[in-house]
Amino acid sequence: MASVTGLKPEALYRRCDPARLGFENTAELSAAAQLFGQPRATDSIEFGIGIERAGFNLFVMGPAGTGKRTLVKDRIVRKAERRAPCSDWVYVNNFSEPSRPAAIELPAGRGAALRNDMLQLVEELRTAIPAVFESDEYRTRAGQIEAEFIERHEKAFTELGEEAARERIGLLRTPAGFTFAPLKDREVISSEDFAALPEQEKKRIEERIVALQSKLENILRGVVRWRKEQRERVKQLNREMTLFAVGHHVAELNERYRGLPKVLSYLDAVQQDVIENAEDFMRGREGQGGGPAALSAEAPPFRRYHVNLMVDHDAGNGTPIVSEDHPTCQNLIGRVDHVSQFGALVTDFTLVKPGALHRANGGHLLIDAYKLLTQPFAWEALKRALSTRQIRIESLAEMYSLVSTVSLAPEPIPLDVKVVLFGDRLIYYLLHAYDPDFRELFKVVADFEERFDRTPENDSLLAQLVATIARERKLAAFDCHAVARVIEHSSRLAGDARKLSADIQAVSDLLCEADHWAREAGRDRVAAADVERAIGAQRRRADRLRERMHEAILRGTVLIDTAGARVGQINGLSVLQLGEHLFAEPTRITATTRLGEGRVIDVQREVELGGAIHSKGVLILSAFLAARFSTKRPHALSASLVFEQTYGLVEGDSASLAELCALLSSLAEAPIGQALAVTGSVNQLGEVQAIGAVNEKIEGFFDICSARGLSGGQGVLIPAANAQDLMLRSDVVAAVAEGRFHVYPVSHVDQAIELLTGMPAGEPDAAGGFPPATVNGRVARRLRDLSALRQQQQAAGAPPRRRGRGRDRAGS
Amino acid sequence: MSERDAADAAMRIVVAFDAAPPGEAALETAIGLAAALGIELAGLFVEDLDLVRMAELPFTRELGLASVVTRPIGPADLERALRLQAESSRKWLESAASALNLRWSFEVVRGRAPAAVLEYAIGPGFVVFGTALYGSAARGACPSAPPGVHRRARGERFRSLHLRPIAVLFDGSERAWRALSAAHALAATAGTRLVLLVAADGAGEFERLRDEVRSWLVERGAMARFLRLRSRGAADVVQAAKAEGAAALLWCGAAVPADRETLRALLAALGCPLVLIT
Repeated sequence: MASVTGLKPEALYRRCDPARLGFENTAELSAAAQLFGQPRATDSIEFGIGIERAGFNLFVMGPAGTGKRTLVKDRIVRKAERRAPCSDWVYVNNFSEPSRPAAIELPAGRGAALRNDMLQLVEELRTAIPAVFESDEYRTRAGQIEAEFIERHEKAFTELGEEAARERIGLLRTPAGFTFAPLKDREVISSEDFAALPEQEKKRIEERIVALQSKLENILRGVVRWRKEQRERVKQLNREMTLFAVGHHVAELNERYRGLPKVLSYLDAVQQDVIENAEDFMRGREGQGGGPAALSAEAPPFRRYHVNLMVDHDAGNGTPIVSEDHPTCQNLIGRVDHVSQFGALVTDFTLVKPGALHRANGGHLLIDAYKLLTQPFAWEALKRALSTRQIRIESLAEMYSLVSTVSLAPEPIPLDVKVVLFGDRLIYYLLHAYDPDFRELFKVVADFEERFDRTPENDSLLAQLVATIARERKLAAFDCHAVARVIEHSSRLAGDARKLSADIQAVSDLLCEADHWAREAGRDRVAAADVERAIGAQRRRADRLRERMHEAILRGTVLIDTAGARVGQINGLSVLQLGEHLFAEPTRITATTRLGEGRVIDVQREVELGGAIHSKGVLILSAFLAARFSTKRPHALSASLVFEQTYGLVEGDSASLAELCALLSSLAEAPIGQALAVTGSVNQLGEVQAIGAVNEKIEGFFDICSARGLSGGQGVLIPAANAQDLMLRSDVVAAVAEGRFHVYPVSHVDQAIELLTGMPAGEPDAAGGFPPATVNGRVARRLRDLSALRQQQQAAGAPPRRRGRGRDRAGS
Repeated sequence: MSERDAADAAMRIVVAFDAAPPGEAALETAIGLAAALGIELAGLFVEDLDLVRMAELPFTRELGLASVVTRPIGPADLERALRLQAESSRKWLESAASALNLRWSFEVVRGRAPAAVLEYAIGPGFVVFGTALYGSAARGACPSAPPGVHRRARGERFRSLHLRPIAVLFDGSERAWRALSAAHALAATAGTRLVLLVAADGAGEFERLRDEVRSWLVERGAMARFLRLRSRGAADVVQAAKAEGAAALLWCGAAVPADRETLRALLAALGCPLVLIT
């Protein structure tokens, strides 16, 4: 096995040479940088926006802060500028069926014009109609109709009265009607005089009165008929007069909206309604005072002529781009409001409110997928609208019978919109797997990278982005050293010296903070020191928990040795992430070994504090041991592995190399140097595999060692595959350069155990045996001894080992 | 106070109610005069003796105005109906007078209109007779709301009078001047114009009266249309007033028909309220 040497300082940090950037400060950079490093996502977005087919809506996924919205908006704006403006939409009263308001499409900018025209029309009619009805012509003609009726009516009564008088019978008016009574000397006969009349005369009078009453009855029935005829004639007169008042106003509007048949039909319906309800305009002149009372009393008769402008586009603004930040069902598809009137909830077409789909119709609607999915009924409403290609406003309360109020059913509006959903990958794949509609409606996916290659070209583009952000945010110019430091930090954020982070938001935040520190220091240029200070400040703000853990180790509360050597004990490295802050701390891992049935007990797993991946790592190292040392005899080993002083869930397999080394140490009784810490996972062949957060892990152990005093023998073993990821802090790099700290890249467990124990690992001979004075030799001998011991026990008829629910019991 | 402004000394405006309400125009005329002259509005409800006698007859039946159903009517029924009608008229008068802050009174008498009314209206004043008569079958009873209660605009308050002229029978007598004075005030209040129906014996007399009245009106910033009557007979007066479409006629002639049938015929022919100057 080749010996391992520590990495050189230059391998621990990939510097960005400011001289290669080609500028002194960002003020020299004029061109605004576009989002770069996302060619796949950019192509997808351009395709998704460009294709004009149903169902080709976009799902843009990727981590937050990568500029997804910026890129999408930029591409949409470019396309929108080339497209014709979208239509305006209005809701108007449906005079034949008021509960179903009618939707009218108008060219951009003309919706508001129609609304104003209708307001103007109503205002003019409020003057014109009363004026017509107060004109001498109307009064004369109405008076003639009334007089004709009265004359007809009076003539009938007069003739009847005269007929009665000729027979000495009077027609009298009672409070409730009419009656006939015989007369004597032009006065009603007294009851005594009537009693004195001959019976024949009495009978004649009564018969005559009955006959006259019959005629009177006919006249009164005729009066009802005449009155009806009179009303019809007055109504017809009113229609004529109203038509005169309204006709030329409507004709003017007809001319203005020629070529818009739906508007013309609406205007025709308005004219008919005004004619039929002219009296509203007569009453409307009263109660003109201000205040809510006047509004509620006056408004209703004329509200039906209002125009509810749902979508108003400026003719020069191209297609709309709408971002809906609160995508509730109602905010998407619109709603019908109600107002309380005398204790009842009432509504009409003027209370129909538009949703984001209305505003975005003909253009693009941008929604956050998570927000959409967490709003009740919103996702279903959006899918329904996209599937049917129309916006149908439905009341949720009515749909789910929460209220019994009869609401409106506005005419659906045709929908032509491109929806862009933004979300993380989990949401996309869940929707794709479980919602068949999603696949039909969101056929285009744009997948944003978290990081991209760190090439000289991309370094330059990132520098341009820094300049652009500085300009947009009105920050001080960054000198080339500061920009270089930003690029290096971006690489650190990516966790890979060969990559740059796509988290533009993080870069932007760093620039703002660096600008702040530069201004605090009274400089008009941001220097590398300001960037460094900003990075340090960011870390410090989030560093409370790391400091407390660090303190616990230094005080001995948490046992971590950084010197000496112990059998079966090793320093592992654990990573913790709190929010966006990632840090690592050493963790003591111990291993004990004894006679058993070939199983390695992971104590974390036994107490259900170990995750599945961690358990997998332990099983792999168990398999490694069996495969390497017990191919010809029973594997009679029981071992226990513990993450000491950990009280939470342990997940991941990055400690499996450390665990294996601890086991080998225990079996070989070879002490492990505590000045070293180990990270890396192993496979069944003992090969060391890459892990994550290697920088944080190295720095975590370095901080403890540094606090206790660097001895020169301390260091960290990392997988060789991670060597190119390193972007370590400057103090770590400096310590390595001075030989006070080391970073060892290992590719096999044998390399690690040699470094840790100072003993040779031992190469197997042709028969698979190992030299006795090596770690592997000692391990093989110990396992052989255990196997022999077990065979002896079995031959002696020792009772079988008790088993607890299928697992070995520790210590037996 | 001049003799010609003697209308100001008038005691009251008497408006006659009976089983047939006087009609909207008559009520507006009475209220308009009371408001214009600032004098008392006196309602007089006449319980018609003929109706009382009729109810005592054994076979009498009433034909309902709205229902057109024939039903018996006895003295007790009639008494109740008259009381209700009188009470309704009183409330209406009270409401109208209160709305315009007018002095008012109301009385119920039993007799025969118009004699009972003329007897009640002794002394200088005005008596307003309505046009309803049989016409209440066509026009209904009292208006649902008195003028001035809900309507605010002058034209709306005196809707029956607005835009139609107030006609005055004028012969130069002291009563005629009182009639003119009252008519002028009423026309100003109702926002309408005046028509003078001049009863003169010759052209010279007509011109003299016209000039005199015109000067009187000019002093008050008013004007009028003058018509010379062919005679002082009621038929000519009625024809002239009707031809002018008068909203009300102020009658200063001495020959006021005192019997019901003649007055009814006169009002039917006239087609507007008649205001007698007493």
